[in-house]
Amino acid sequence: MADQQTEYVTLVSSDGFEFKVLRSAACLAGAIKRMLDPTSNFAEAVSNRCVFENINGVVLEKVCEYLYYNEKHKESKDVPDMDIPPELCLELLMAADYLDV
Amino acid sequence: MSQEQDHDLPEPPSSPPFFPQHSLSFRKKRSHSIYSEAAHTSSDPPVFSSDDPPEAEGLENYAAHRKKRKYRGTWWSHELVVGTRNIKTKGELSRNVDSGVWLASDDTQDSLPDATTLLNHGVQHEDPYSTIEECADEEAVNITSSIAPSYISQDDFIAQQAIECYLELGDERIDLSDLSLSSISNATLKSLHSLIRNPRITNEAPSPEHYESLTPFLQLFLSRNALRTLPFELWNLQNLSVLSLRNNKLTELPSCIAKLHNLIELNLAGNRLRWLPWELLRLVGPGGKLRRLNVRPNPLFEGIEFEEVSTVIVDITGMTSTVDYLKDKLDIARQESVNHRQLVSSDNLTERLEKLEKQCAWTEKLCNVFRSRGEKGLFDSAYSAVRHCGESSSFQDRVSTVGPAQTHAPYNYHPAFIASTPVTFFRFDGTLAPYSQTPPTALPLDVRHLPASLLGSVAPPPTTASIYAPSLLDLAFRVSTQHLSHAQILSLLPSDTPLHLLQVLDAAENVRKTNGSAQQDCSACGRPFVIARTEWIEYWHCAPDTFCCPTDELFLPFLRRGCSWGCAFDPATDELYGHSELADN
Repeated sequence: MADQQTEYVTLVSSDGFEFKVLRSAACLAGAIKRMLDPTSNFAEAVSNRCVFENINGVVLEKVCEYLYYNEKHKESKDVPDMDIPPELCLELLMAADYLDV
Repeated sequence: MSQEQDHDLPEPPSSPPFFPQHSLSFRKKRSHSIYSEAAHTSSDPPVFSSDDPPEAEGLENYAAHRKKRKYRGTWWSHELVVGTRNIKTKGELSRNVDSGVWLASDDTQDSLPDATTLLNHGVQHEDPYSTIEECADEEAVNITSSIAPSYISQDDFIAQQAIECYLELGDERIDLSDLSLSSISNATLKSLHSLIRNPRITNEAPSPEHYESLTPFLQLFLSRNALRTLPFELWNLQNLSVLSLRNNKLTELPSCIAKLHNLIELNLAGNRLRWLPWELLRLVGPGGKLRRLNVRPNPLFEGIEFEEVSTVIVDITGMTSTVDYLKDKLDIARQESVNHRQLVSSDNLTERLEKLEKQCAWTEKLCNVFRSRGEKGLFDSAYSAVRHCGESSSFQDRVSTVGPAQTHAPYNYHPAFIASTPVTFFRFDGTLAPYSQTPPTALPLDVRHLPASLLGSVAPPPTTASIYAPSLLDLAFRVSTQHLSHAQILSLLPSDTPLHLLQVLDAAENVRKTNGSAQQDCSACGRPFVIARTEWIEYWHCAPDTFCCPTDELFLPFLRRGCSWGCAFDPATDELYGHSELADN
């Protein structure tokens, strides 16, 4: 409870995979930012742990990859495209919309 | 298991058949073909393979036949039925190939008029090259009198017939005007790829310097139809040199038009266009060949309201005198406003003053652009040649003079950037970002006036995310539209998919119909995108063909779409991105 603003936050997928992600990167996603907002009093903000019941581990891994990709290219102008496997594209589509990213 | 039972069953579905059954069905099939062909053609029946033992085979065959014949009826009635069917199919097949026999017969209902009319032309005219004009006249008559078969629309049928006729003659002037077409399919236009220009026929042997490529310079006239959208196959006709879309019902011209890099003339007059694609400027600049661009009348956006419309000469001297004239007027108006300051009804006057000020500023900017480029950059000899030829002759004559010989002449017209509207920003899912104004494409139809600033300076909205990286949603959309069709995506998405995602999908499908791909290219960085993140209108002076121009036609609106927020903004120079690319080349 005391250490509310940790450097890393944990994202948990529906099938139990846990991803430890930099807070600054995770907050690029609007939904995660709202969950972790210290003023919101959400359980996630207190525990620094977000559980996504509708996103499975494979998709969440790709989402984390995107978050770091976006963080990495924050300043750069010529951003290369991230690879997205076609078999994941529709699930990622839904996840991206859900997470506001 | 008896053999009779097997005969009643349909042929293929039986899984790995036993050897005798297999040989039986095989023979049956073959013997049937022998039977029908032997009865109705003069050619020899196919020879039995020498591998088959002749006697036993024959017996078995006859047994199989008898059984079948019994089932169908007597041998004579059976033969009759088979006979008529065969004659019919044979007739249909041979009509396309055989010119002599079937041409004159008008009694059959199922004759294909396109094939017959085509062949008529080919047979009647000994020298097709001398009678192209004649054919073009006849073709109009033939088209109106025929009815389309059920599998294509009447519009397509008419267009296809006309195109067939031009293909047959090798005529590169494809005139599909005045056919009241409301749509054209991709398949119809695709056949234009196979057009080959007719060689020039002279009495002397051609010398090497008279070499001419047989690649056609297509001239496609779709004027005076009712087209609302254009098939994307049109943008694949790389050899198109003249495209006339005059008097149609087009509301938007897709950015893919930049693919037609051999385009010399483009006529868009009399449509419902409110803006032009920014990519069109690529065809006008040094990289393109476009020399004639007709865009008026169209309900285009206007950046300034004109206090007074007059015709000006579009060169340095003409523009300088116009600016001087406007400045004089402005001084007089200012004097008046000072004199009438005490009067109550001065609103009208201040409004007039504002209009004049803006008009003066825009014209002066254009004049400065001209001045900085110098005389030579704007007009060279090739330009004035085209200009004079265009001024003195009719449209049709002009078309014939702009041939392949002139396409490689040095031509140095540069469009000039004048002003830009504020940029509209969209969120990652295509909804309007906070504090952003309505995008130009979503403005109601009665809005004609869309103000713009000459500076074009704009600040991107504050965000923690990268302003250049594509959103994950856009990346996912790009991959899914690449690999799956619209229907497939819809069937695979869960039933509780949010509505705005479905709207994006529908919009992407509409783009795919006009562009051939759901992705568009960013006008600033060239990267593909599905969801536009920025949108704005730029006013350019772009009149490659006109020497004299009414003042309200000096500035044309061009729509730009960007793939990321950063694409509308270049922090280094604090200027809208992408101007130098066109202006400085």
